[in-house]
Amino acid sequence: MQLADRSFDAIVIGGGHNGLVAAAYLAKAGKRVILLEASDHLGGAVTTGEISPDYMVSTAAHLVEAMPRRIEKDLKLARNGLRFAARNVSTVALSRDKRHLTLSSRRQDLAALRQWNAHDATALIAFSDRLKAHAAALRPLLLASAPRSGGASLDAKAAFRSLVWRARRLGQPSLEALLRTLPGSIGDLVDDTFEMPLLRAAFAFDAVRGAAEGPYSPGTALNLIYRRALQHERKGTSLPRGGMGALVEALRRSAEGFGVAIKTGTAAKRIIIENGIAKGVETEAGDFLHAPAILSSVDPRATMLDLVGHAHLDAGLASRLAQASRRGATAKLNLALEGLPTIAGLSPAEYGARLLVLPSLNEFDQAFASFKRGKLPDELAMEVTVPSVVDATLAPIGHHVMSVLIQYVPFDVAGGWAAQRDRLLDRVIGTLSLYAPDIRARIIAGEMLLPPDIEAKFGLEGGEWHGGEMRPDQLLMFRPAPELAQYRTPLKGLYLCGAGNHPGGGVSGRPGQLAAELALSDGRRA
Amino acid sequence: MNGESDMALAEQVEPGEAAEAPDAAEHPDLDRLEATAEVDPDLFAHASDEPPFGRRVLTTPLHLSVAAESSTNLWTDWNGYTTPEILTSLDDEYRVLRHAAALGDISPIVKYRISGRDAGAYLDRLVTGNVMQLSVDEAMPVVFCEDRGFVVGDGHLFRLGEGEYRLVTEETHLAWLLDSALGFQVRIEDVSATLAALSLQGPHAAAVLNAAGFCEIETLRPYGARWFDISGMPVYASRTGATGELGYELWLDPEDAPMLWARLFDKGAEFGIAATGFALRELARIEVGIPRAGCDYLGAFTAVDPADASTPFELGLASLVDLDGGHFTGREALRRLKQREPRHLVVALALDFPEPIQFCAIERDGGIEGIVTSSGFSQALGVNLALGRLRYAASVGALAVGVDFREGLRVRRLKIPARLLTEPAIISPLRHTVPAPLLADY
Amino acid sequence: MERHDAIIIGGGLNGLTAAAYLARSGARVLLLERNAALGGADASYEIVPGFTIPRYSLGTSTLPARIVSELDLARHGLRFLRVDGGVSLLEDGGYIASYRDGAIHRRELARHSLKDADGWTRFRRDMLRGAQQLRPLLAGATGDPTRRSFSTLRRLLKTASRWGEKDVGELHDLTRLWTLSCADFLDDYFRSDAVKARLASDALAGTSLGPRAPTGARHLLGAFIDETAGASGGAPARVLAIGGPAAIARALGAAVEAHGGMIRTEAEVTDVLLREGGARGVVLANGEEIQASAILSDLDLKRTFLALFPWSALPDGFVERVGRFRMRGVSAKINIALDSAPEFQAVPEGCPALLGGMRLATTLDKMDRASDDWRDGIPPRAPLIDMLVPTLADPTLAPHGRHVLSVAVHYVPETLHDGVWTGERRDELTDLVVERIAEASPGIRDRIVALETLTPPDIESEVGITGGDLSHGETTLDQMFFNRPSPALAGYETPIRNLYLCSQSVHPGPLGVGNAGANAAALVASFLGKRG
Repeated sequence: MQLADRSFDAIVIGGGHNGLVAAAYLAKAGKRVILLEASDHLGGAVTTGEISPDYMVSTAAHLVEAMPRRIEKDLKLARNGLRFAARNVSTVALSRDKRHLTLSSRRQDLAALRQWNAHDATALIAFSDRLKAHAAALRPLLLASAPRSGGASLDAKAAFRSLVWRARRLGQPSLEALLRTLPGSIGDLVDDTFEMPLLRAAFAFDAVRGAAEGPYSPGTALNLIYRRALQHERKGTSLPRGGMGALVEALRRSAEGFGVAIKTGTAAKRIIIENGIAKGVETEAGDFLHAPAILSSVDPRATMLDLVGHAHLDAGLASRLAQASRRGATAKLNLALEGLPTIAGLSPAEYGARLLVLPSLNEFDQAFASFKRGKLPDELAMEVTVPSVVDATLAPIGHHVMSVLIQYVPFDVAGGWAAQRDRLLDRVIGTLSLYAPDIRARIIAGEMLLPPDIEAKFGLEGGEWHGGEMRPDQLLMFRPAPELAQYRTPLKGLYLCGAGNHPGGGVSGRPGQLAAELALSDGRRA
Repeated sequence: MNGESDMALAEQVEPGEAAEAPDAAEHPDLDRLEATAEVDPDLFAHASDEPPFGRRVLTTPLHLSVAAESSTNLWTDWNGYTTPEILTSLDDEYRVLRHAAALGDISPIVKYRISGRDAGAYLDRLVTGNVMQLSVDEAMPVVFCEDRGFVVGDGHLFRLGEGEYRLVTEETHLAWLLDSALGFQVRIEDVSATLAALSLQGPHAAAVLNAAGFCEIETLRPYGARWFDISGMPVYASRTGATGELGYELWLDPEDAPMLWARLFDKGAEFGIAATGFALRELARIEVGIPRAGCDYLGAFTAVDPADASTPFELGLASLVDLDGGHFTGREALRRLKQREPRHLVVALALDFPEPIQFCAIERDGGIEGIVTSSGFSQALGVNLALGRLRYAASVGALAVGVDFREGLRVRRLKIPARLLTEPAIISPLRHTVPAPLLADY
Repeated sequence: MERHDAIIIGGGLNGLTAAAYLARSGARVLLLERNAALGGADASYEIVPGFTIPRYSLGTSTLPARIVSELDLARHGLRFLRVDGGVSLLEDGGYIASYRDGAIHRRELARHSLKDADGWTRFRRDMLRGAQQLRPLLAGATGDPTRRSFSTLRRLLKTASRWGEKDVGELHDLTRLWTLSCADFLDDYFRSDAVKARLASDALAGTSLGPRAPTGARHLLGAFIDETAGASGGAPARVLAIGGPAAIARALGAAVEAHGGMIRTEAEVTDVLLREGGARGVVLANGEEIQASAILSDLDLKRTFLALFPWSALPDGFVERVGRFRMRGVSAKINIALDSAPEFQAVPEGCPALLGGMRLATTLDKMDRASDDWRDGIPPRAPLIDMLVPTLADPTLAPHGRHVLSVAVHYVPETLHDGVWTGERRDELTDLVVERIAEASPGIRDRIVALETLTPPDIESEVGITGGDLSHGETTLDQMFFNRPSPALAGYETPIRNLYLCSQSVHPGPLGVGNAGANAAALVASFLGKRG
């Protein structure tokens, strides 16, 4: 199709899941929408790839944790082919002594834990309840667009006041715990709460997974609450049948079903600005597309600095965007396996769980110290899924694929990745072998994505998965910058709808949905 | 010298863009990301390795020449440099300014050289005015703001060549200039130490320069500038200066400066040239009503209380703000602020009172509504002129200034009626005359 | 049996401040100090006859101006000197100093980076703004935000409204200041590693946080909290008490006695007398019992509750909560007497900033590593070393021409991962530090007349502070403000009726030593007043 000089109601830049969600919502409302994706495939880091022929796995992100059911329903994702191979995927912390720990509130799991460590069983119930309550108190902030403060609009005032009410409803002990938890480190929190090293490490891992902070970094306890609050919308972690790419495929069908024109292999070169108003997009191919609303789901920094350009931005905003912290800390290893590796002590049903490979908290902290200094961590913490256990479409019968997230892998490593890549791989396989001694023999093929690979492959700067680190100065009304926080930008008609915006990363689709709703309401007002 | 120097910062651009730059060959240094120091520590450098607690105030290249003219031995500190407060007497110096030609050493003023492919675009985004309209060998008054629309600083911008500009300001702004340079191929150097500056102001200024060899200086229009060759010394002369008089500022190599100074005295004697000090410079700008950064207003990065920062509208610099041209930092904020009432105003006041006054409160109906930030006694008008900051709501009606005087060992408080001035108290008609007069009949 | 209105346990600066305020309000006050000298962690001693040196602290303690003037301490002999803020050596043999004078400080920064000389302007503005917002919170209790009273709710809603009305840029600035690491925060203003390391080490010396630990940036406010910090355009002044911190204790002691209060030293309290759930008095080590209507403890939280009470007297779960309050020493102290003035090659002669102290060369990376080592219980390999030569500013502390050198060694763990602090390990630490000092001042070894090292356990056993933690509890944000030591205790009251806390373990902790004592005394005075 010839694109030259076409007009639309909205142009969406970037075909990641948030871009697709935004485009679908806009089209559902009757808008003529075009979506531009620079690469040949949609989804960005939410995708399914082939490790080797017939072995399919979620290339980067591998679990659906935070996408609200409402988006699934609104966009009719089930009708468009989305099926879940597993819902409510449980978490099992693996132990080298083969006494694995299933983290759940199911009666039999708790009974098992109580036999093992009665103190921690009691503590876990209290901790889980409190975490749930704290997440619930924070949740309303995440459901809506980030509150605005100052100037004419004072919805931050309402938001803060309602936080006070919700905090009060928590009750005194729970509120006291929250106040101490918010600024504290996850390490101190779990040290104070649990006795079992495995339990401590499991919660610490969940708090820092994907972040460039250590378990004893102040503020990491908040990460856990924030993540739980995001996950709450979903009520459980799920594995899409066909891998994460299936989610994107359903979003694509949904969007196209609503009438979105999707153009892959079409990169935006710049956003056309006239007198402070975004008028359209010029593509790399030289086509000019015009629309009163332009939504960008690509990185806010790339959108503002590269596509809009410094000349159209205030200097303070530009330098803050340029400074925003992007420290990727997670690598991904995908393996094609001949047969299921044997993990002693793991029940057959649990092979489909989210498996955590954890060092002690102290070793985990030292891994962070290595990461900070650009070195490979000695002890690895990993999140492992074997999705083929529940999803036969991913590998030939009897064969499997394994997906491994490796925490605390630096972007730049001392000695260079060319020399260190194999060492890391060795260390990962070596660590996995401690639990599944036969794994090495079963590997048919594999691919490892280091932070620089993730940057190169998915355009995620610094190999950072969330489009901007999730830390307090880059959350809520500050994400990605105070001037850009509510999906609007200083340039009329330009909206940001990616994970770089509130409520952030984690395959939630919410930035896309909220930005689209905002653009629609602006359009009605105009 | 320790640490890296950032006299100059090259560009931060996307990889690849630097290579594509068409004029990269003409400006080979543009591609270098490392910075280079361009300071001669023997001159009056900021960045010398000399422990700063030793010599508290530095001297300018003209120090000896100026000192020779001082009969008062009265000195002050201007931007860290020894500067004469008064050389003979303020009254005499004032007469020279208004009736002959007043020469001053303005080397302590802060000067930045801004060059490179994107220099124009960079400056257009930096300042509130339209830099794209500035021709080569032309100057313009500028003000620049941060994102929220508060003034960071003001000064004059000179266009020296295609991609070469000079920004002259009262205070240092290197951090903000470099932070703003992100995304532009531009090089910013603090040349304060490598550029001497003289100011020659008064009705005979053109005549003196003409006699000193500045050929056809009279044809220079206000805010015009040009290179001159004065016996082998390259001198850049601009028709600028904050005095309300016909006047010029001369920019040249520090080593040549004493020679030019001597030559101007030599050739200007018949036109009544005399050296003048900082007090006269202050008085003259107060008469014209020009606020000075750090004195009459605080830059946005200096003001600890946000209420102490000012918008260009509050400084009376609205004419320097072009909201309809290209984007500049603070434009959206200023569009909003323009709709709102200013919080305060910088105002000029006339006080019928014969003695000099100091900082004091501006009052209305007995309440304190503002502060006098600078003042001086105008011989020409016979009144005290003052600049001050006044709450906007109080800027109508009868004002008074409360002044405390020491009488022996007692304090006497006077309430002096003050008049708000809406026009500059003094502007010489010669200021705009082209060609400028070359005869000494004024 | 003796009877008083109030007994203050512990003669540290907070205890003395509390006693002085209470005595001034007309209460009959008795202060009990275990050791022979007043001052607690700020006590001085003669390391050899004629050489006076702060035994545990560096010697830079001061009191908030409001306390000095309200207690009229000048009348009791207290004088302060304001000197330039000190010097840091650099690894390349250079140095960077802090000057009060704006023009001089600017030129000092310009020696390292011309851009940073300008960056200082905005940094100073933001520090003064941050300090202005913080200051009002220090001179009173924070209130317990978890209380289910209507007034608490109203107060919180009002606070929420006030925050919500703030400009989002201002909120962002505040969030950055209170949540970022020093390194991240300073990157926004400065480019020179020397400048950043100087500011970060100023901020973090004496804390457990490394320069890359989130929430460290707020410690940059430290020196700016003093109300006069903004008086000049340069770095905040270093304020030194003439006679050292012990002189502050002496002046406070004199103020207590001038208002009719009593002070007994070498009187160790071993128990608090309880009756009907309330504290009625104390028992001394010699068995003596003394009664009082109110007991104020200047001991740290853990020592107060875990040592002075039978645990059964405390509410359920309370002991565990007290146990969770993190107190881990971070500093060792080395006291040195010198027979002549130390010379530092890198620093030009006559540098006035030397009076404010001297820090040996460090970098952000080294500090980060030292902090990690501290957490792992490893004696620091490259510790942060702060020195003060109090005799430069106050020659009366040593015989004419002689000096004392006060050395604080930071990121020193209290418990070692592989055992305890032995004499041998203490000597290793001493050797390492003296070696480092000698690198900067080659002749120093020959000038040493006497030397003594105190590790955190030494400080614990002598002063009684748990863990030898001079700040009475880590100063991370989860232990500050209403979290210090917990929302219910941050208001100086305790579950034991008539027992109050007034040490740095309660709000505002080390932010202005003396504030906790003054705030607690105000509360107790009002209770005593009500009871008539």
